[in-house]
Amino acid sequence: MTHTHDPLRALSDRMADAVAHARPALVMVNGRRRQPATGVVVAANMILTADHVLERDDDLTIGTDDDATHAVRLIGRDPYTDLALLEVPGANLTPLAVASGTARVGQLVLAVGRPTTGGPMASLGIVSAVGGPLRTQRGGVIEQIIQTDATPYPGFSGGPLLDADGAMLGLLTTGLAGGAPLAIPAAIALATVASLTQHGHVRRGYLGIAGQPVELPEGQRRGQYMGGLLLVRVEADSPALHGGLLVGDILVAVDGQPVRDPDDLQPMLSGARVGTSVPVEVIRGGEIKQLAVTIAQRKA
Amino acid sequence: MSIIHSVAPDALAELVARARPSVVQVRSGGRGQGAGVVWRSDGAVVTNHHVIANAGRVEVELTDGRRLAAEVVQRAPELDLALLKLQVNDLPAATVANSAALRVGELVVAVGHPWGRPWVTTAGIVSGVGLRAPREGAEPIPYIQSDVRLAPGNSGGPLLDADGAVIGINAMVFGGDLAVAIPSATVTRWLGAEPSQPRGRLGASVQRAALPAEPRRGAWAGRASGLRIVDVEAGGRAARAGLAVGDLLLDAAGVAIDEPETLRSALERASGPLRIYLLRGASIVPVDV
Repeated sequence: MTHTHDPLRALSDRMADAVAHARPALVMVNGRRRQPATGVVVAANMILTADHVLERDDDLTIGTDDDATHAVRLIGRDPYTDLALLEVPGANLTPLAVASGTARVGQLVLAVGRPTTGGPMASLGIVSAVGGPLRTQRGGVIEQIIQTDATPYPGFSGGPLLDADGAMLGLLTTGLAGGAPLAIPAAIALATVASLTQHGHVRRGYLGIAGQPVELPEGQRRGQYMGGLLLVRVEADSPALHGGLLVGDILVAVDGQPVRDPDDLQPMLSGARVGTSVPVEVIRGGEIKQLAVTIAQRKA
Repeated sequence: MSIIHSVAPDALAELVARARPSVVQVRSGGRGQGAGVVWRSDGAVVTNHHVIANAGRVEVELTDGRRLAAEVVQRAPELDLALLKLQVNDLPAATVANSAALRVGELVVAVGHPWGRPWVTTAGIVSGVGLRAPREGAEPIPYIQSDVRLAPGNSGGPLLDADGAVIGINAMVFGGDLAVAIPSATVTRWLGAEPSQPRGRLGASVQRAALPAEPRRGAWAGRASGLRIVDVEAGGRAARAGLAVGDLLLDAAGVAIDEPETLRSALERASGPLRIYLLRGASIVPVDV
């Protein structure tokens, strides 16, 4: 680097260095008919990418920075959070460094990708918002989400959102919410990597109910409960059915936690709780009833 | 862009102040206008071809308020470039950098007259560099893509690097809303400032051949044919690069090679080593020629 006394040259060099730093960990992912997308190296033989860029499970290849093409194997995919993990048999690739700490609103970021054989691409922006939980368009919930104003070029999904040092803040995708450029925070994406590596899918708990939030009129409130979820469906052969829940019940608490909205159930249905029995409370015919439900594994 | 302004408010203002006198307004026939870059103090101004394409009279306005008649002395519609000549010898020439050294992620600044608003600055970074044909069957053109916001009126104006030197001429070669610039190295070569040398010779004989089905995967799925090397001249470019009889050439810098003509033009346009992908045995490998 030269001219480092000049702030613009210093900024320019730093951004180009960040792209250069990430470059070996950026791969092109060929898994659909239209333009290839991007993946990021998360272990010597593992590539994390976006689920929606894979239109098939077989005949997947990646292109690496040395211009080689490798056949890859699908380890697992999680359509709910739009993540997929690929294995490159026998490869010794360089994983991308992960940023320490969380994204801050206003922070300078670079969106990078490798959608073509013409080398890496990049766009500049800032962290516009850090929010969540986000209910995804495919029915998942992501605890935290990063929004950016960096331009998502076609094929950037599955690539990293970098900080100014070239470390990964999150995984970019436009497949979560109507094409908006969002990034799944690195810690959440890597937790999914661990789950996909171990199980081939992400374990999630399942009750087998559909409900709508209702307020309880003053005369019908019981205990501390002001409202709950009116059950409109109980799935056949589901934990809820086996536990004795009925359509028409108002679900007011699970495991001692009040339930007012379907999203309230998500933290109670983590993969770790699959197979455990939890107490639930419903209001049926004006009376509180205590039941128990054994959380089952949600089918992918 | 506000980020850059907050990092270095004075630095960006100073950069633009230094570069601004070398950016001109170009008007042709009363309708439409674009920008131009003072390439040399002797009145040589580079602009876009589409800015002056159907013009009877071309007028240039400088930052000092002078309005001068210009003559179109050189045209390259395929590169969207035109060279204007003004009858003056005191123009503030731009500093021109070599775009070959440009890296993805570098800061870039555009100066132009978007929507007719004179001397407006926008900033961003280099998003990518490459070679692309503006339309099916056309010769591929080197380009710099950036995330700088460009609008009609930026055409022909400079894309500056972090030192304020010209690394490209903003152009509308690919249509749409793609912010692209013709690299300064291409402009310089077009102007003939570099000694031209015969670049188009590979030193090998080739013939068209089909690409077998097996390697047609991934990025190569759409390719049907390439050029088979059937002879290699001793000491030629092909021999020095290690190309061998039997190699099937498929791609040069992102462009499919399935005609000797495409290969020749790719070789002519490459300013440095040209990366060629070829099928050798069962593998597609890159070779720099």
